[in-house]
Amino acid sequence: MTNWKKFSTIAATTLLAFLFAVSAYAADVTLNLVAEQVNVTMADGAVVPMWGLRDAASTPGTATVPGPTISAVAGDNLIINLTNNLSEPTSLVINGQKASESGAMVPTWTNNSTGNRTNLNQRVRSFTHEASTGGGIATYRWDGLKPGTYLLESGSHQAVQIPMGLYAAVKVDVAPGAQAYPEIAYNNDVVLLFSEVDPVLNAAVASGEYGSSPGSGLYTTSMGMGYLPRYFLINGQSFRRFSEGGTVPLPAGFVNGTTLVRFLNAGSRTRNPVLQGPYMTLVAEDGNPLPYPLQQYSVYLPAAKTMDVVFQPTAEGRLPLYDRSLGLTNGTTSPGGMLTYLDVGASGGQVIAPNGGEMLVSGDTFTVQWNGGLGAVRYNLWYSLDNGTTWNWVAAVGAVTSYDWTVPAANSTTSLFRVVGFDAGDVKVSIDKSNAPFTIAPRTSALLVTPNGGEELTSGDVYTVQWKSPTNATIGYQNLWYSLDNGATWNWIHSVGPNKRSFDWTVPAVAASAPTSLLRVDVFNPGGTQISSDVSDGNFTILPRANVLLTAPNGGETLTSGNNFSVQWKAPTTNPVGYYGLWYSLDNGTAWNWIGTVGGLQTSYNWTVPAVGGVTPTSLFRVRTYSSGGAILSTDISDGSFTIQP
Amino acid sequence: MNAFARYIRGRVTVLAALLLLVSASGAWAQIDGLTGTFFNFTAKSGHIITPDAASMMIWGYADDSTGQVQIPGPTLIVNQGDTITITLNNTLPEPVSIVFPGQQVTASGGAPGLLTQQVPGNDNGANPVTYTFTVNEPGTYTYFSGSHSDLQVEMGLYGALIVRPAVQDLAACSQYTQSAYGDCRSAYDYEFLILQSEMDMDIHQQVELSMIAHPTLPPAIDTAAYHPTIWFLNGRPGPDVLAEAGAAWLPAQPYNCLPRGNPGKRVLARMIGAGRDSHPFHTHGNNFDLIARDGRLLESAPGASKAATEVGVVPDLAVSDYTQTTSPGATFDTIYTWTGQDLGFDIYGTADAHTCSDPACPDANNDGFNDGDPTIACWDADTYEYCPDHGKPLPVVLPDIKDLAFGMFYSGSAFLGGTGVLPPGEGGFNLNNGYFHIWHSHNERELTNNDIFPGGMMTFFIVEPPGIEIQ
Amino acid sequence: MIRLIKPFRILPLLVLLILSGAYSAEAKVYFQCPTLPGGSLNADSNGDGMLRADDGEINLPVSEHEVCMHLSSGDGFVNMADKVLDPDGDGNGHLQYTFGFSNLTGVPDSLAMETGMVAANFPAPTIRVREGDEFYLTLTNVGMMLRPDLFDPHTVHFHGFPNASAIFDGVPDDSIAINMGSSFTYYYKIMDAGTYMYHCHVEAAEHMQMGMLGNLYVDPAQDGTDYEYPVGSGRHFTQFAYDDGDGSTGYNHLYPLQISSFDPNFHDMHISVQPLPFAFMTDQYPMINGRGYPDTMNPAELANSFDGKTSQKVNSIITAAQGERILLRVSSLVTTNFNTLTVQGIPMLVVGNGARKLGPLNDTSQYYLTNSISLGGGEAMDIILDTNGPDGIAGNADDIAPGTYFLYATNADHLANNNEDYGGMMTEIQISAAP
Repeated sequence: MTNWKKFSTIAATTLLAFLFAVSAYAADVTLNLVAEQVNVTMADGAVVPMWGLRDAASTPGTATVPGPTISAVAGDNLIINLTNNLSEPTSLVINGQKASESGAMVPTWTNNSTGNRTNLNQRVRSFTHEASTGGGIATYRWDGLKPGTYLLESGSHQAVQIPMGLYAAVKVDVAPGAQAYPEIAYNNDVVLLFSEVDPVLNAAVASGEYGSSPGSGLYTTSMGMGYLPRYFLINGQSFRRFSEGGTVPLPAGFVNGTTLVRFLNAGSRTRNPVLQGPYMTLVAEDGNPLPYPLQQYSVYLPAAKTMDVVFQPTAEGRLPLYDRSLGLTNGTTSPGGMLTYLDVGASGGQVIAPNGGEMLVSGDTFTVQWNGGLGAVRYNLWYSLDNGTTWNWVAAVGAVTSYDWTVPAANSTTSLFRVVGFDAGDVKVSIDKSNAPFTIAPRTSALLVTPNGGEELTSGDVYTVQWKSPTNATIGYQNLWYSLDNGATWNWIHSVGPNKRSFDWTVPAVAASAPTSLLRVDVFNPGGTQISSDVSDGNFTILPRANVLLTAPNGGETLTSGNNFSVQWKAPTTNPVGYYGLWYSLDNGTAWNWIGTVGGLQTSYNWTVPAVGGVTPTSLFRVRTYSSGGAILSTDISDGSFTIQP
Repeated sequence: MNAFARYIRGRVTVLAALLLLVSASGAWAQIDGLTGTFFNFTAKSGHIITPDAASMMIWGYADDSTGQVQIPGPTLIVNQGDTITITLNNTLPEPVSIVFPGQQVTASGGAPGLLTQQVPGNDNGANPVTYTFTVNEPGTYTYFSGSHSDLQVEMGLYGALIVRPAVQDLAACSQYTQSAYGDCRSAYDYEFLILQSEMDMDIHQQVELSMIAHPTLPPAIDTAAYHPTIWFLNGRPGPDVLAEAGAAWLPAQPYNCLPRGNPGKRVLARMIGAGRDSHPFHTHGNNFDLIARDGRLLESAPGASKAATEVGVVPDLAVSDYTQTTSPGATFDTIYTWTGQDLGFDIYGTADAHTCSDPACPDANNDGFNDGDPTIACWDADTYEYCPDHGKPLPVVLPDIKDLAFGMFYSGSAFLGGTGVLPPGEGGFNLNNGYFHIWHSHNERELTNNDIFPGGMMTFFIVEPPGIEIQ
Repeated sequence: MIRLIKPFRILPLLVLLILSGAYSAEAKVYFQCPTLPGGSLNADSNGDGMLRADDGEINLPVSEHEVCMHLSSGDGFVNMADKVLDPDGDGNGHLQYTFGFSNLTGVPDSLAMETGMVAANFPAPTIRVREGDEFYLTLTNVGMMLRPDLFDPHTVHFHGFPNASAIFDGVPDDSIAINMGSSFTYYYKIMDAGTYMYHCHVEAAEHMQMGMLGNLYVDPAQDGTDYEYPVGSGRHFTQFAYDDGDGSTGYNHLYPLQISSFDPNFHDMHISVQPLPFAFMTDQYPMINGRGYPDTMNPAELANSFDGKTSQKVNSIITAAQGERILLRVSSLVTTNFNTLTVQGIPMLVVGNGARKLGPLNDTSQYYLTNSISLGGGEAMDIILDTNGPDGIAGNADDIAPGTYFLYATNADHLANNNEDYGGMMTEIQISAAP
């Protein structure tokens, strides 16, 4: 089961701001991104561990490579809260946008110090502050965004973290969806983010082998071993033949419109994209408008470069776009790699996909695409199972040109999709449907989506199990099991109803790392007969929890004296806990007030908030674990102070 | 004897022949290729003999009028406004096509490919594809196979397309009769093609073994691991680039690459990135001015021009540089001129009694500067000598010949057109006593042929003394 | 172009040649720094590594702007930056055998050979000359002591010199090269400001991979003229990248940054007298000014672990105060591949390349802002980093805040010293608060 999601987009609705500097009208664009490992299935079927970014708001979901495209308006303030679930500290930088926290980026060194260099042997690990491993959170801020196209990348250990996949596109418009720069207007834009994957490097990093000493025969560095990319991606995907259910053409505007193509290169090698057909007008480099536009059919795109070009399609049709540096293979096979197609419609609002002939499966996510333009600011989406006789409602969306559609349960060879566009005055400006019918086939077997191999889960955390169930039979109930021993023995989790497709699973306690864990879903009919079953494609790992983790109060809460508050923590699993000791502080931890002890099996406590003289914003809570013999095992304190009010 | 001389002794007779031709032949400063509007190509395999005496299989486009496969493919020299028709046949074991970036091409016949219509493998004339397009703009372009390009470009299926301007508006620069884009900004005395590519000899060996074992099956080759070991200009590695065009002993490599010019002449070098790597191409002797990229002049507005230090009138956005990154699939038109200005000594030496004068530049006191305006230097009308340096001796004393190593292209003299005493067996390959200036990839690893230095992506620009015929 | 040189009369030079009697058919080591009759050479009083008439270091020079320098070409050793990994097990980074140049200016000819032997610097001594100089550069080939089986000649190629003659271009195939034990003097009339570079051109793939590479740049005649830039900003400059006519290339601090890289296999096979791997030349030590990170940040002249001679003398520490402008004269003499350099957090203004200002005199319209530049071997670019930001005006949003910034290769694999992580092609830019 593949984890690569279609390139998703975070649209930021903001006030129009023409100022590049901080504007009185500037809006805050706040994102919560999670960096985590994800197994990506390449076009040739190889599964490569990568590090991706996930928008926490789009849960349940998985991290993607590249991360979600970020859209904002010039003058906005971009704030990203980054949660780090990776095996090393990480961070985010956007070269070309001014980092605003404390005025400048403060580097972090391999000796864990921060600030300016203090000795000759220091080496930089991160160009800025970091989010620590094990769920650490860091906030990055860029005020007064400058218009243009930029790369969001890891600012930490780039030799590893960029090839691993920590990058995403950032597009900042002067007027959203219409004006890229004060001088450059467009009808449609296309983001083309080029990147590479050297599977040997990624495997070495994921296995912890990376950084071994020379002579050990193990992986040292990509410089020492030789960097050899074998997968060549555009927007996280390499070319696959249509006949292999592969590459979906990208909507690229319409005849006589203006199409903006945003080229980005997150790989380590120069690419030379060629757009076959029209000349492109190069208008901006790294977000800086060029002094004079240049006419070229090819673009020189070195590592970390962004280049914006525009062209006016003169005819309806499909334009090939490919890397003339010939990154056109998948693994050892050809064709593949950095080849895609730009579809030019006769006019705006045209359905690009599904456009006839596709084979969709109920329950799957299919990315519907259409041409924007013609002034449409919102679209209504419909589908038909009977060749357009009756239309079923899908969704209403804003000024976007794609939608991740969950294919309904059906069995139809006469399905169509319809997109209706409306302008700001709610006037219908476009209506189009699939040129020809496509097929929706029922799902005939269960399919476990997550966890599907490669994930690292931690005891006591809540993890969202996701699966797809058959749509060709009536479901009675569904049972979930997990195994720590590669399927030799299965442990009961829960039984859920027929309509559930996900379950929030509290990861069981393990005393030691369980790298051969699996999850299984069994689907039964109302009569209790098993219809289908699926198991994770690969092993995932359940990690023990070494130390107690206080989750509430954890900073920012406001509690009232006399009320009850449910203190929550996660139990360590590496050693049996005899009992917990609980304290609170009113003065940021200078003095701790004893509350009492609770049994080693408890993970919560109903606390009566104590009386205070006045509003006390410097309150903290402390939980400590003891062995049955009374030895202190671990301690945790609220990450930030909370407030107690009288 | 230096390494270069040592190395190419094997080809000296050829080279000698070449150098004799240099002084006589008129066929040395033009771009060889096919003219017309209808062309018939067949993609086929063949072999070349590399300078290290290895036989290497190549795939190339053959002009059906000769049937001779070649790298690069035939250079198509056509006229702006013409409608070009190219019919492609294929004897290779896998589908082949041609794409022409920057052109609006109509393709018919054959079978659909990923980038255009393609001729099936082992087709042998059954399903030719016809590519038709009208060349609306003059300039330098390239073509290559749009089928399995990662292997077929490696194997040699690429070429150059040159579009001559329909109108030559050279009234303002009447000393010129030719230009690349139709006006004085791209006018030139001589033009040369510098098409750059590289090959991984292992891949070619794998392809040959596959075609021996399975003549009709597409070779399955891992091209991502490619590691080029030989480099080419116009399909030849150094030193073969110096041999004459059409040399009988290089049947599949008909084009040479030997730019030449007299002092003060404008030389147009049309550079093309035909392989998959970029190459930093360094012009010794002087900066060039990049005037066009991908067949489009570097101008802020139609007709906008400036006077460039080195070469005179060029488009206003032209870029002066001494190294041009030639990137894959792109084309770069450069203009280069060598004058010897401000060397600080008389480039023709002080031995002979040559004069330096320009009737249009009165210089009674012979200080080399216009008597009316001492900031205007005078240039000799005939020799293009820079008069302020006239009569100045070489400012340094040269070592005794016993302390020196001599290059085979050294005339024996520090002066243009001069001669001098050389030890036996040294020099001797500079028939006109010109200045040889090496032009080469400055990623010096690329100056080798299969592990042997020198060779690869290198040639010489010859500054020929005044009076030596270039064409 | 601006022309400052008054045509120089040839008579005195003829007199010199006749009267000084310097020329000897048996000339071996011979540092040519011609003077008029009765002239003499003083010591390099200001330690700039060359003798300048302008600095009173040449009595009765043959030219008012005569400059003389004496380089040796030979072999030597340097250490790579992977000293934490300590691949040689001796507490140092990997020791590399090199070919290279060292500065013999001021060394008597009689001592030149022994002084120059096994003294190669990497990079070569930086050559900084001025528009209008008449530059006499003597190269003495001291031979390669550690490779007695070799008798290679050497040359200096002044890379990018306009309208070069073959005789002084240093290309052995079309000119002459100096043998061991002898000297060759190159003459260059310096006409054009800009960023050049120099290297030996003999068996270039070998001698350049072995390290015969150095910074070479030319200051413009405009230096010393006061320009306010931007006009109205109150910022005045007297040093410039080019004769720009408007002060737009003005700077407070200039740093030459030459990138290069070594293939340890090539160097190790060389010192062990093995056949040299050209086809599989693969650089694994990416460097700036002859050092990998963090040695780029070491202010000291580094001594090698072979004989303790200081052989890596050029650091890449870049500093400026708020309000100031930095000029980076960036060049590449990498022999194998392209590199892309970025500055994280400071916009790069490209004002020149190939030793030419972009656009005409008194015109900034062809300068461009970027976040990265890509260089193949033999390419150079001139970059301005303005701590006031692209607008050049202090006190607004695009000002660069005090702190540490990083200049490095965006080719992620180039951020290592071979097998040692956190190294490679990187250095730091330290911006301090306005004084």
